[in-house]
Amino acid sequence: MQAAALAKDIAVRTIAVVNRKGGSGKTTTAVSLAASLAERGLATLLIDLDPQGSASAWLAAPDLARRSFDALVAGRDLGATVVRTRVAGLEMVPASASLLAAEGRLKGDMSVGVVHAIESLRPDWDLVIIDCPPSLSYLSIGALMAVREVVIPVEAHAIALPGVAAVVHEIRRLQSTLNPILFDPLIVACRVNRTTHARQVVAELDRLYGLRLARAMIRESIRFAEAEAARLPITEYAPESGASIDYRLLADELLQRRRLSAQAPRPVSRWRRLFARSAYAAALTRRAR
Amino acid sequence: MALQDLLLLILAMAILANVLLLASIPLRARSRDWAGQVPSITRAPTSKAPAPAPVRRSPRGEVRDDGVARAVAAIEAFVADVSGDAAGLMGAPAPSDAPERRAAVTGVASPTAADPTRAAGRPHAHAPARSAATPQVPRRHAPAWALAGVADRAAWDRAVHEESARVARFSRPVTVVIAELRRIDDVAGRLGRDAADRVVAETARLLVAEGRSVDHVALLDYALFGVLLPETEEARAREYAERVRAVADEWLQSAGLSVRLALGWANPAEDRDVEAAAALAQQRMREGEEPPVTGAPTA
Repeated sequence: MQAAALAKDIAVRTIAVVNRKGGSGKTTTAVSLAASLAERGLATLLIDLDPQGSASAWLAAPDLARRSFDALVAGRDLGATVVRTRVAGLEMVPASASLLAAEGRLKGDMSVGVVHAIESLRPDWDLVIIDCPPSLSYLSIGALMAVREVVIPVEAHAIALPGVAAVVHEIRRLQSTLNPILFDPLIVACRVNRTTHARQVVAELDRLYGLRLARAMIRESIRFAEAEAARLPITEYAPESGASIDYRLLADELLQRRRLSAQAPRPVSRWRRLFARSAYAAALTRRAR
Repeated sequence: MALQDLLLLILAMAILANVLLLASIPLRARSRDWAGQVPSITRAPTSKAPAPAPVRRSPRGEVRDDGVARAVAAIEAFVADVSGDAAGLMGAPAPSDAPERRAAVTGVASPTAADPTRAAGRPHAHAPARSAATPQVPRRHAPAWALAGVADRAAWDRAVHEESARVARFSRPVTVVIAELRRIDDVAGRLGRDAADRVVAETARLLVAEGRSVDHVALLDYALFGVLLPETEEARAREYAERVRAVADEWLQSAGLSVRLALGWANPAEDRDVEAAAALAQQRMREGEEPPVTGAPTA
């Protein structure tokens, strides 16, 4: 009932999980967060935009090599590619390996296709979470253009700090150019172990990003690898583990931050609003007809 | 007049008024059209027909309308901007062989774009121009090297070590240039840290823009730069330094800043130690002496 009450006062929330650096916990966060939200009773859709298909393999989605490709490239309905997973309330759009070649060929048109596909989804879910590729690609740009929220998982290691700064910088640029209604990102410290170094990195993230850093931190755990091998999210594989609790706390924090989504986005100049609403949005609407 | 007659008269007048009102609508519309069709002496008649959208084709050969074409162009511009920033923000020199792209990234008009005789080493004096795509670096929350968009000290040490090995093995010429912004603290005190950061970042961009893609520019300290010029004799390095100084002086003076860019350069001695050459270049910069242009390695 609480979940229904939560879902009532929020529109469909679209969240992209991004980071350039591989091994930052991006796919783990996308899958585990989606499972935690579904556990809360919210209908959740996980879109795997990574041509590597890690999230699709994790949740044991059937091999649909071309279907999401057709939706993103040929303009067909993305909703037709949705498949159920073993987690109640969680559905997903599996990845397509063909997207990699298509992206290199289509470039900006790929981003427009992603925007169109996501915006054309029926509002059958409470949350849509997108697992983006681990690079600045046209797929991830399209996802960032279509969503309103961004989550950046960061490994608690000093080597990850420059990458976070780069991603935050790119998102700020994107906010001012391609998606004025995109909120500031939520940064999540992942793979946090008990070393002094990890604590120092988290302290540095707190100093750099303040309120943008999630209070929930995801600990390092071998259970994630085990869960992936078992083709189950951590909340199903080891529901009592500390890692599961961490992701549930993150899901709760994300839901508590729902009020950010309900508020008006940052004020933008009139011409930015005109571009966002009229130019390509209208063109995409015409294309959809 | 009887009351009944008065009421009938009022009713008749109301009906007549409504009839006239309804009848005037087409008349007003026609008069507006007519007024629109009469050309004015002061302005040309405007066409009511919408301009046809420019036709563009996607890589798949499909026709896209203007809105989608603009969106795609905006996306491509975003990717070009961010890709140019990406290497600098991640700790490596901005990679670019094309002067145009380098100019777009650094905001400085590259001399090679205008003058193909740059190989002759003629100095070019021009002020760094701000391009519309000037990257906005998150100044308050990034390390100093990230502000400048160039490599950090660790990357510099690695590059010097590798170059030392290359020079020792192949006996190739290399010159190290050290540059420092003098009195940058005055700018920070007078205009704020953000302004000082901007000067540092623009100087870094200038050093990159005046160099080649193989040159290695790094921020060694807050306002101290190192430039590693492989395959470069000291005479050519001097020309590079003079070009940078000319542009920097012109820019800083036009901005009304008391900051000055000091430069020193040196190439390795017989022992082929690039690190020692860097230390010598820094010493020369501090002393303000200019080494003789002999083209031969100096001790």
